[in-house]
Amino acid sequence: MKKRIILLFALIQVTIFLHSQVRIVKGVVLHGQTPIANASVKALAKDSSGLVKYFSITDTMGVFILKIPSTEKEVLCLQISNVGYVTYNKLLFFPYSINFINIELQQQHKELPSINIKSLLPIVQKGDTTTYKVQAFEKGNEQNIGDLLKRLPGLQIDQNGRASFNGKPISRILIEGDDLFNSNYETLINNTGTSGLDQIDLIENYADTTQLKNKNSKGTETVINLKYKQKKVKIFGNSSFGLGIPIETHEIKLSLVSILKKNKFVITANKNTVGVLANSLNGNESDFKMITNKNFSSYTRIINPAPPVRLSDVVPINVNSSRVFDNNSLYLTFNQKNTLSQRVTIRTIANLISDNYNQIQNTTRISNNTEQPLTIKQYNKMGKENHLFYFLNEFTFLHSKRWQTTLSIDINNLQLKQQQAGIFQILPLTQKIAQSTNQLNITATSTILILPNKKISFTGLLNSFKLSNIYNITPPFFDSLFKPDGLFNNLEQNFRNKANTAILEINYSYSRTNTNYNIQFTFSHEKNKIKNNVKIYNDADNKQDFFTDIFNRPNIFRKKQYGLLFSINKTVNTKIQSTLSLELQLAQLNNHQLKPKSIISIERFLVLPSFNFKYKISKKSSFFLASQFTPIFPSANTMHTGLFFSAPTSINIGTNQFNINKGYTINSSLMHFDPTKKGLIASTYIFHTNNPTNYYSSTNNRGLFTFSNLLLNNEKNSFFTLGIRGEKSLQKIKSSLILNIVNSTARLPNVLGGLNVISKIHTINSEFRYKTNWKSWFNVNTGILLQQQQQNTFFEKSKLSNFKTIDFIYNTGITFTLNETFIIDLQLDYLKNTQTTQNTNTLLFADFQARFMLSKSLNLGILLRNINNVKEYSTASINPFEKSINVIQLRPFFGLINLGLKF
Amino acid sequence: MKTKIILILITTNILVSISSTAQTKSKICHVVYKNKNNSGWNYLSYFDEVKVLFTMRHYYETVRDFPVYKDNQVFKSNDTVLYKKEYYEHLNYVRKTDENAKHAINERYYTSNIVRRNLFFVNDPKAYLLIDTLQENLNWEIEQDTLSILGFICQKAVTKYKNITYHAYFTIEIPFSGGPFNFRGLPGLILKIDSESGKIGYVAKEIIYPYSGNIVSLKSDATIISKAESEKLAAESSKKSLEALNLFLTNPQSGNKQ
Repeated sequence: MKKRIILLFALIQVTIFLHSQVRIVKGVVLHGQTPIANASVKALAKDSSGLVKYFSITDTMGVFILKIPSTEKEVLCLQISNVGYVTYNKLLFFPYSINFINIELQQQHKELPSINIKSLLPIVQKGDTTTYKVQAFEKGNEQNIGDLLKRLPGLQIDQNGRASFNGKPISRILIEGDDLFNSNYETLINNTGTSGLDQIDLIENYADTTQLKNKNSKGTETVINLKYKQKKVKIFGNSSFGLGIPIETHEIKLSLVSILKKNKFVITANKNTVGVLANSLNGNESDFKMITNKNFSSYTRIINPAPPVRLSDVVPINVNSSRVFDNNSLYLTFNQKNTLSQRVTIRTIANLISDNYNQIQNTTRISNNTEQPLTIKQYNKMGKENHLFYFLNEFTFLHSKRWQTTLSIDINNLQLKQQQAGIFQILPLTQKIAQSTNQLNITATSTILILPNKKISFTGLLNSFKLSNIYNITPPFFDSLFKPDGLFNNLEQNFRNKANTAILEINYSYSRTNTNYNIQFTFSHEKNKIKNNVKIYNDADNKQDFFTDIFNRPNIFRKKQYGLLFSINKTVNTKIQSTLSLELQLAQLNNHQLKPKSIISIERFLVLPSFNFKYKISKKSSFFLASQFTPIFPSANTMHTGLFFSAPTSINIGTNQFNINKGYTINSSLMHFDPTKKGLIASTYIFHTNNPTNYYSSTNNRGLFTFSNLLLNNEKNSFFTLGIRGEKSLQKIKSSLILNIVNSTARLPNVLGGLNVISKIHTINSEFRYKTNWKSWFNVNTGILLQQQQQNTFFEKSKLSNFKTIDFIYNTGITFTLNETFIIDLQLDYLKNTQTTQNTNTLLFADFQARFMLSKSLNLGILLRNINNVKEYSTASINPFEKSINVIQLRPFFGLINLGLKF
Repeated sequence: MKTKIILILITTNILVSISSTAQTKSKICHVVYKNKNNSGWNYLSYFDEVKVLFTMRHYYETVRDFPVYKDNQVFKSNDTVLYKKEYYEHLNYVRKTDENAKHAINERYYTSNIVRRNLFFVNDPKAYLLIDTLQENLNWEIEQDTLSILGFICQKAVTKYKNITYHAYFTIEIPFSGGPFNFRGLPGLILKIDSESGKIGYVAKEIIYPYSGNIVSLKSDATIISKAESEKLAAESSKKSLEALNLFLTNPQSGNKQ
């Protein structure tokens, strides 16, 4: 027994001794004969983590003593480093039997990798404001502010230049607290450089500070506020001048941001032939449209008729417009806010948008709703000369602390000249459109604070709109139904519309600590006169009316609307906020046909409730639910019973029957925003809408001609969208992953060849993207997009048509940054399109861009676009009536050398 | 021919620019640490091969409450949108005061525990030099936890200093053995340090390496003072600055003109 106790005791002693024993690695760090003091000596784990396990620091004699516990048996990596010397590495194996070593460090001759400005804290969140430090996100290859905003976690910029924050639309972009753009900030995103930008603040629950507001009233907008660097004279600019091959290729850009004490202005200019349309710089996706002052909600009540004929561009999905158009575009903008005195401010906006461009397209249309399928083939060269001039002047007078008046005048002048020449079936055909649109708006708002928490405001708006659309077909087609006497080579349709609208709004709001009450009375009157006239001729001096009675039926459409809105906004606690509204509307519609005379009128009373609920789950997450009813009225175009041409062989006719419906939307979203700690930004939303169209468009064919007439429709249609978006920052590998899935379904009732049919459209768009933010010379942004669309048309339960298209897009952008002064961007886009109607299409686009910083403010760049030189792209679309295949010619390779200046 | 000439010109330009930028870079690492308790101070550190210099500056973005003069009343507000003008005026005042003020400058050699400190006091044009001895090397215990700070992978280390436990995060990617204030002795740069209670803490918000801007320097010809003398002068100085602040809060206009 004694022996056993002794043995056990001895064992315990040995174990304690072994555990307490420390192995020592000693050494001296030298350079030549000179000892190196303060060098760090580390024993690193020899695994993927590379973490420091034990360490020491050399003393003034260069001596270090590294203590390794005897329990350590793994292979270690001895690393010795000091500033100015090459790092020394050596493997240490158990039992680390190095008692004394001399380690010679070599002096570092080559440049150390530069950290440069690694960043300020890149994102700071304070209450409703998220601040992004520009330095942390700027890479030096940004063309405009949009390129920079796209890099900020949680912010998305769509292809038109509208921004959203984690799913919520950004309503304004402010320049140091001031809105110079009246919410039309696409100019800033698409055409202004980043020079001088220091900080970007994203503010939620923002209230417009330029307008008098009730005490306790709370803002609902989400805005971006740009802050510039502190300087005595705050004028910042970017400009570039580029010339290229072919010889006419050029691009000149200028942007200037000036922030003076009493005056802020932004000037941008762009003149290019590199496929960037001025219209797209202004934020429009396809057709030219007039600019409206988004600051006045009353504008949404004005819906003027669309022109009957337009020539559409074809820009395939996910294909950049510079691969499609041969253009010559000019874009000039000026935005200014001038504080004349403490009481008077003036805001001025002027935009000049001018595009001259061509497109060659080959179209095959196959009509479904004829006894025999009708195939129409066209080969066209389309040329467009579009010009828009917009000017706004807005004066704000602060008469006293409690009375403010805003007077705003804006004009739009739109001139379009479009021509399409080509072969229709086997015949030559030319179409010309000359359109002129003018609009004048005068708005006056006067706000009085009766008491600090009681406010009344009066708004008056006058809108005058004139449209003239002249459509010329040479030679025209005639059906036996309306074959004229004789042979005519020209047909001219002159469609004119003159509309005047007046709106009066009186708004009273009363606020208490947590509750806001709002009562609004609105009256609007719209008078819309449409005149259409079709003439045929051989000699321009001798034009004849073409079927005067059916093609020339002028009418006057009038709409009077009285609205009374009650709304209560209640902040229940710090987490819950809700708004309930009820609008009562009385609408009187009247349509007066002048030839032959007939008058029809209707009066309808509408009840339109809406609600809005916001629940702040935590500091990082919130839930949002809203629903709204909106009235759907017929427009002046709908009520025009004269025939008009919308294409060489398409004739449309309106209806003389009124129909008014109510539509609704429900949307709900869940948002999470934590960019700094867990690096997760996510949102999911459900959106459902039902907007009955009031009328079906019933189409019939006769010979080459298609006739569309309107029939009453009260059947519900429905659109349902489910979206999920997530952005996760992987801090360990300095990268981020983005996943975006949007699934939408639509159910659309229609009439096809006299049959009531239902079209069901199902679309899934998904995107998976990986972005790196490495501090090395190499960075990558790669993504896979899958877009699938399926359309099935049913009559009762039998399927009439089926169309499916799948687009697979793989794109990769690689950025090389060499020596901080040389940046190369390589962009590869691979598109694969599979459709039911045609063969699989595959395309590979390649672009190269390099920028060399000659100095802080001067750079030299080279751009090579469409390197792979793909010549054609084929795209198909289908609707219940027809299937069409478009083959468009793509722009060939071009190159550009440009000199950029930043100041 | 024209194209060739243009190409030659461009190539020459590029080569000249590359050679002009490839100059020897300084080996100074500049780190700005933010004081975690929102005192409004930044600690500016300049590490070179043998020593570290550090000083402090106000950081303006955290100026929260500022005086507003309205309806014959002065009150404090933090609404930077509504009182934009007052906010920027106050910011300028703080900036101007800070620029004019002389802040303490500290210098410490890595191999020594002695800190030489230049001190300045309100309404006193003289520069003082205080020589202080720090505690011997801190006893750090390395842990396996990691944290990414400004994109650098940092490893955790723990020490006890003046009876307070501190948690530090250092990176071996930047080979300077230093940190904010007088924290040191780890085999890499300390980017974040917190006391266990959370009351004291610094975090790096900006790193520039190599740094070629202005660097503070220590005046070695200053009047040498003892610690007790410096504490006495500091107490007087803070009394004077408090009086100036009170005057500014009661009448912001007079403060701006100072």
